[in-house]
Amino acid sequence: MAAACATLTKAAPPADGHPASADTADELEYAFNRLFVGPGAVPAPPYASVYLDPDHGLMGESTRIAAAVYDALGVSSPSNGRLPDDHLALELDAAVVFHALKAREQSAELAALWDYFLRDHLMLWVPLFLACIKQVPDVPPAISHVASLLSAWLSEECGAKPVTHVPPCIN
Amino acid sequence: MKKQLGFYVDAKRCIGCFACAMACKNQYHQASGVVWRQVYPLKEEVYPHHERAFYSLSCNHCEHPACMEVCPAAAYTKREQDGVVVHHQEKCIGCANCVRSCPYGAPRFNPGTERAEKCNLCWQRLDAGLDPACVKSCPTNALRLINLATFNEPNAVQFPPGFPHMSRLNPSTRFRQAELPKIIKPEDK
Amino acid sequence: MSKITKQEIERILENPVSRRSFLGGLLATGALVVLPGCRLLRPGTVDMGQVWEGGYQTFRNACSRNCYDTCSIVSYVKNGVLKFVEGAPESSFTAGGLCVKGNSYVRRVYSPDRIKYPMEQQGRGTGKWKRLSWDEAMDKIARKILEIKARDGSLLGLALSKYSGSFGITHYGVEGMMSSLGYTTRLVGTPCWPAGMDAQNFDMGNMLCNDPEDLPLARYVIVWGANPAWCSVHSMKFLYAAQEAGAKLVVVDPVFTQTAAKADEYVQVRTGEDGALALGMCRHILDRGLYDKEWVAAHSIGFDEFAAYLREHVTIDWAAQKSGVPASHIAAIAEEFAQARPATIWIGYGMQRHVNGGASVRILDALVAMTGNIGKPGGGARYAQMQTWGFNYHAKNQKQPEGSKGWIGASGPKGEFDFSGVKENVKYADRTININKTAQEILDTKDPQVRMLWVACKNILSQDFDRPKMLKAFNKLEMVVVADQFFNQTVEQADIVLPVTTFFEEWNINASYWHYWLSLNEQAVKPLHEAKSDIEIAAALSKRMNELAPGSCTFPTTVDTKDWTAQEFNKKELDLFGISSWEELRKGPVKAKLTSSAPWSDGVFATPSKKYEFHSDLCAKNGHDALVMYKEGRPAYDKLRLLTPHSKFAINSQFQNLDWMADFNSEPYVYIHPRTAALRGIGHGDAVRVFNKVGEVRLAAQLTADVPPDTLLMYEGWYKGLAFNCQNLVDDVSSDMGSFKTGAPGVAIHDQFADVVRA
Repeated sequence: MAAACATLTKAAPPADGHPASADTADELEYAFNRLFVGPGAVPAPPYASVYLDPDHGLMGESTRIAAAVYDALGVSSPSNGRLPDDHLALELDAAVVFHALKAREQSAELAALWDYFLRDHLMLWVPLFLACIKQVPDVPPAISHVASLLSAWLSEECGAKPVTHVPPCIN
Repeated sequence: MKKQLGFYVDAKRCIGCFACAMACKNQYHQASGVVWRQVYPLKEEVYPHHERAFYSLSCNHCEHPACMEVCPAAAYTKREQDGVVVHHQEKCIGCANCVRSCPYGAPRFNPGTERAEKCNLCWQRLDAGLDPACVKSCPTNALRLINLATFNEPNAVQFPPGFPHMSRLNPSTRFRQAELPKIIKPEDK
Repeated sequence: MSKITKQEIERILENPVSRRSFLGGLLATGALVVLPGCRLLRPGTVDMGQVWEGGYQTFRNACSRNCYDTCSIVSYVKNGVLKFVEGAPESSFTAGGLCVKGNSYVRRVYSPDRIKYPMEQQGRGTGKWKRLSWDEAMDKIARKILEIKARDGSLLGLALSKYSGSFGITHYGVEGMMSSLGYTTRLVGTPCWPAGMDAQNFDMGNMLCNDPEDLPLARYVIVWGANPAWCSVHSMKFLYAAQEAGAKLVVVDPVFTQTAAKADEYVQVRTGEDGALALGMCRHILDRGLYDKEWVAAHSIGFDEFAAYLREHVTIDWAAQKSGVPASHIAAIAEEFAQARPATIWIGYGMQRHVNGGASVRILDALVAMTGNIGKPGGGARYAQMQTWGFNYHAKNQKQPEGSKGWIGASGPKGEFDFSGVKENVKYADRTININKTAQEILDTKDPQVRMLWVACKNILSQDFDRPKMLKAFNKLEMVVVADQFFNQTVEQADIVLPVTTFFEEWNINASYWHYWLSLNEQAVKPLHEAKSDIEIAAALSKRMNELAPGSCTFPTTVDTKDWTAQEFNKKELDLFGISSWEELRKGPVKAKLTSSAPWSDGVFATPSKKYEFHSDLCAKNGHDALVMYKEGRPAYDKLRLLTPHSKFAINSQFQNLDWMADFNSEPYVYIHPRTAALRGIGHGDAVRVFNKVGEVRLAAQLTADVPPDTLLMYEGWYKGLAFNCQNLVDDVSSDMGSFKTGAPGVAIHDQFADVVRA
């Protein structure tokens, strides 16, 4: 974890008034947990259903869709139903799988499925998730940097502008 | 008279427990802030105690629904077989005419989906032979499903004090009013 | 190549067969063998659970909250996800419907706010949390426990604060976990009902109540200091049935509650003077000869002494002056009560949260007894029962490791669920301290001091009394471990938090302390994130303890909640419910096979004399008056009385934090009589400061004549994100009784005083 934080911190361009070296690994961890994990209510829950499902809860319709996409890819989450399948980490992992498969072969089905996962799923919620992060004061530069990398990657993948309006946020 | 389903709100039995309101959320998981059934405490001019009598209200499934009248997208229909007024999400264009026009505040605007939504009298449950979720959950049997064609409760009224008197719409909800106990308090000195 | 549409994709994804074959050709070439960069998803598909075509999988669950109604639940699950809940139709008590809290359970299980992982705070209250694996968490806790043991030579420095946050029987495994580690310090007693529990035990030899479903047989019902319209909504239908059959329903309460609004008559009594009012009624009934002479002669002792006491010390005018109820009215209801066949009193727990609470319950019991209403269907002095709780307590009954040292000498009961009895001839025992004075006890206890606190099924910083003192007490603690579901005010001050399951995610068994139904709790869905049941936590701790120091913990290192639930049943309990196996409960809740809906119907009591005791030597032995008699209330220590009863939107600090609940109830208020408010220049909705010697609370005021002019009313609970906490105004003064059956006196929650000004 410390090594990962160090790498991140080096990569993050310094923001005004926030020299990158001021981020210790601990401060980064506290901020990461405060933003995404808990134990308190988090301002940016990293699950699709919180943004896409009408009740903004976990284990919703969006969760089911993510699991179905993994199933179609022939992969599954190791969590055995305990971690919602639409967690950002799992969805980005699925993007890696898609890329590996696309590199092997051209397939109309694969392209259609990726297009769906990207445009009708990821692009509907990840920008909202990123917007929630932006609303939080004092986000460490390393985390903001990763968020902007994610945003840039999404834009690149589908050539669309990220959504900028803020959802009725959770807290 | 044709079958017309509606709610019987027995404010005498009702304890304002909100089980009905939450039963609806339990069934449909509406977004926070979007409420299809609300339990309204009666003002003290109507019942002379602070939040001790209530009308539990969702949609009144009117004979001449205002929502249906003003909808430009034909997103509302009134069922032939039982008079339930249904809102069709897929047709809704989010103009909010219905939200502005219903004097009972039944349709609610969902800012997330940008569409209106309201109580549809659990028509899927009705068609499966089940009671609406709110009716099923009421612990005192104060909220009941009635058919106006056969409903015969001599003490029931259509427009009790505190409920907007919209006879043209002809709401299907009926009420029994709350009562007061005899009150023994210390003699004021 | 035609473009595959979004709708087509969604249709393909719906069906396991079509989606698994969708990329078939591509996957068949072994493309998945090497997945560069992918670290989480694995090749191979799992059984995603059956896809239900429209239908649901249903499970039996039981609401595990501390509530009269303990509802039997049917849970509807689709694809392994809980979709909605309903009340079980088989139970004539639950009768198919849950309350506002029960109906919010789906939101609770899948709330994004739920604590997901074990975490450690770097400095209490800093908000700087690091995630721990379960192994890391158990390691830190185990090492601390071993350090305490090495330092003190015992585990008396480890204390447990636990109460009724979850009443599923295997949760007593937390107490079991403590025992399995050694002799520890236990916070014993209960804030809930102990004064009345002792009182009923002194009077009758046990605390037993009529089946609430027999209320329709009553001809006169007094609901005294209880508010079932908020706290036992399922009982209301039985009260209504009684009224419809011609019974008169009277509510006696300082406040015009929701139940009062449904009564035939509401009698406003001065807070804490319930005993005086009831004695006035007793005196009048005696004078008019309306008591049941035969029953009293055959089934009681001490009545003549009681009658003499009434004649010498009680008059209706005295009772009127003390209670505020007009004398003529005391006489009227006394006569009505005595002449109704049968009559009953529902004695509320709020009624006994006073310094004279136990004494008041004895008087109410006496009123019911002298009128011949004990042991009658539809009658009775209704308070509570634990008859249906005859489980094995297998989870609870764990043995201390060999060589454990502890408190020297025997100790009393460790709470009301300790059925183990007083042990004689024991060398060591747990050290017991008063749960109702947790803060003071932590501050005062020494040799050794309380070093480490484990909190489970309790939210002490939201609910325990004298919050400012509790914060001071926390400063003395070296480690605080909290097992909970949400980031409440106790978790805010914890060192380590452990995520626990909701009852949908574990097996358990539940009984009620009011009705006579038994409900199995099946596991409906998998535990979310890394949540564990309390007994799974105990097993994990035991594993680590024994790795570090073999033999240091006797708790089994693996548990299965279903197996442990099954182990709670015995023949006596099964026979009471007329079933031959616990598995029958999978078909639905079952009601106890009672010979009569009324306890004591044979007139034989469980007292030393085998009779109803107006005069109880056992009561005197416990430090009270042997004869049932009046006891003074607590003198006011501030200008106005402060009441902090329960809200209908919560069970103590549970549920109000959910956003679904906030849709219907969003903020706390203090309720003030208009005259009292006017004297202070306070208008409806004004921001005010309520303050007393303990602390202060800032909130908005609402004006209503439903509270007495000399009283401030505030509902206790925890609102997510709000600093509101009424325990900043409540001190920890004890009620008179409670030690006999629960190991510590109760707490006079409603004997508090304060003043209010515009903020």
